[in-house]
Order: sequence, then C-alpha cells, then structure tokens
Amino acid sequence: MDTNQEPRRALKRTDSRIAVGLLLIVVGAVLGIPSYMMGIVPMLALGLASSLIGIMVLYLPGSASVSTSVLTDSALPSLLNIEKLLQDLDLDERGIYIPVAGPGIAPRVFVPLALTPSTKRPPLGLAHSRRIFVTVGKNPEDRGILLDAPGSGILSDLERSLHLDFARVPLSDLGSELDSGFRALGIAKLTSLVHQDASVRIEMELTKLFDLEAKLMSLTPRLSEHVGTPIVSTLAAATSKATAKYVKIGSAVFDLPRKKVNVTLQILA
Amino acid sequence: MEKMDLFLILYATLAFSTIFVLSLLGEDGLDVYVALFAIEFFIASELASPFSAPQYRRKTIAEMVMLLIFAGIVVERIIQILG
Repeated sequence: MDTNQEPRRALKRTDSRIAVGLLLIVVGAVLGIPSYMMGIVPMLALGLASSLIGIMVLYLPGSASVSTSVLTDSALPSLLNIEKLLQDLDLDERGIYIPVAGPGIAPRVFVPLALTPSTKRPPLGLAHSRRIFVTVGKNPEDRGILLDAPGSGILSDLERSLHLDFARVPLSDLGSELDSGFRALGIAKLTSLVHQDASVRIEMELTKLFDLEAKLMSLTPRLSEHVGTPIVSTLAAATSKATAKYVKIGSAVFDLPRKKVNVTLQILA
Repeated sequence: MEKMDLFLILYATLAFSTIFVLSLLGEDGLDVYVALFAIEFFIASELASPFSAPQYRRKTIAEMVMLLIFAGIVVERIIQILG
C-alpha cells in the first residue's frame, strides 16, 4: 500500500514546490517593484531575496523519485538470473570482493568453485577482466565466476555525490562518509560501523529499497548469502576499496519490522 | 528532511536575517545586501551538502551565477575606489 501511494505523494510534492516557488516570486515582485520606485532599499532587498529563493525553489530539483516498486520489479529479474546461475553451477563458497581504486570504479566479486590457495586470493588484475568464467590457478578447481557487484551502481552514485574515491577514505572515516552518501541518495541511514580485528560490523536503517532487499533475501538466498543484496554489496565493495583488501560477507541479518540491516564483513588478510 | 529542502530553508533564514540586521543598522546600499546573499548561498550549500548528482549539477550552475554577481559587485566597488 505504501509503494502505491509513493508516486502520488511525489507528484503532490512537486506541485507544492511549484506553488511555493511561484508565490515567493510574486511576493518578491509585489514588494520589490514599489520599493524600487520609492527608493526603500531594505524592502527592495526583501523583495529581491524572496524572488531569488522562489527561483531557486523552482530551479533546484528535489530528489528524483522513482517508485520503489518499479525499481524492485526492474532489478529483480536480473538478480534472479544470477541466483539461477549460482544454483546451476552449485557454487557454495562466498564471493570475494577484489579491491580496486579510482572514483566510480567498483570492486568485482569472484565466487570460487572451491576454496584453494589460488582462489582464496584471486589476482588483483581480475577486477578489470571482462570474462565471467575465470581460472586463477593451474589446477582445474582454481576456477570461479566473476560478477559485477550488485551494489556497484549504488557505490558509484555514492562516490559521485560525495566527490570522493572510497579507496582514499581511511576505515575510521568510512562510517561517516557512507552515512552522508546514503542520506544524500535518500536510501538509508548508517547507524554504526564497528571495526574489530578482521571484521567490520555495520548497522543501517533503510528508508528506501527495503522491499527489494526483503524480496531478494527470500527469493535469492544464495545470491544474498554469497554475493550480497545491492545494499549489502555496496557496503562490502566500499569496505574493500577503503581497506584495499579482499572482503567477504560474513552475515547479513534483516530486521523486517524496524527496516534495519546488520551486516558483518570479513576482511581477508 | 531532504537535502535540497534543508538548503532552501537555511538559505532563506540567512537571507531574511541579513535583511533584518542590515535594515536595523541603517544600511542603504543594495550591493551590500546582494553581496551577502551571494556569500550566504555558498554557506548554506556547504552546510546542506552533499547533494545527489542531478541536484549538484544544477546547484553548480546557480553557484556560477552567484559568483558572477559577487565578482561584479566587487569590481564595481574597486572601480569606485580607484575612480
């Protein structure tokens, strides 16, 4: 019910923005023009400020609001395909996020066929490979699949809105930067990030995309557990960039009533 | 609250407070008001940042306009002093 009302609410919000903007411009003109003629500078400034703010209300956009149900419906089939791929290949190992650097570049996820010394630490150059099925060693079992992280798009959006490269962010600042970024995108609030030894525990409260995340948890268990849902994957990818180390998802627990998610990530030495 | 709404409320508060204070001080130069509006625009935008990519693009254009207005006022004042 909430998702059906969302587009209507967004439309109403746009209408009220236009009304407020026009009202401020008209009030500004009504105050400013007579004040200019009479030479009353403070009143003229008041009219000018009012018109200026009115123009800004009209010109500067509110956050783009696409219905989350549309987003969920469009993203779900492609993620279901990855789930089927993981099932068909019977991949039971957790995906390893390969660290990369550079703004807008997201780590890729290597899901090994089996854990071997070679697949535990896939080569860093793999992050730039265009192949899906890759071999990282000499033995036949040193193989796996290489996927774009489901959260790579969100990660790029975060970096774009924060104007930074997570590879240059120290782990101590990662929590505050992620919180600012997620808030700017209007999808979540990061409540805590605790780094202890080789693990990072992150708690988040989702304001959007919760439907998608909840659906993925039930419809794509293997993908959610081994590679991560888009939000969880974003956190793993950001952590991998910030630490410049391989990262695995330890656990991701969704608290449905409170729309919270607790993620534990493992940093691989 | 949305970032852009926060920015607009902050900017409106700063601009209207400026008018109130300057009118109490008896300031009669419109350029002083406008120069402060321009500076306050940058202050509000920094306090409310970060913005999403489309908002940031539009805000950058508005910032350029504000900077031009501010530069125009400064140049005019310099010419006045030199002349």
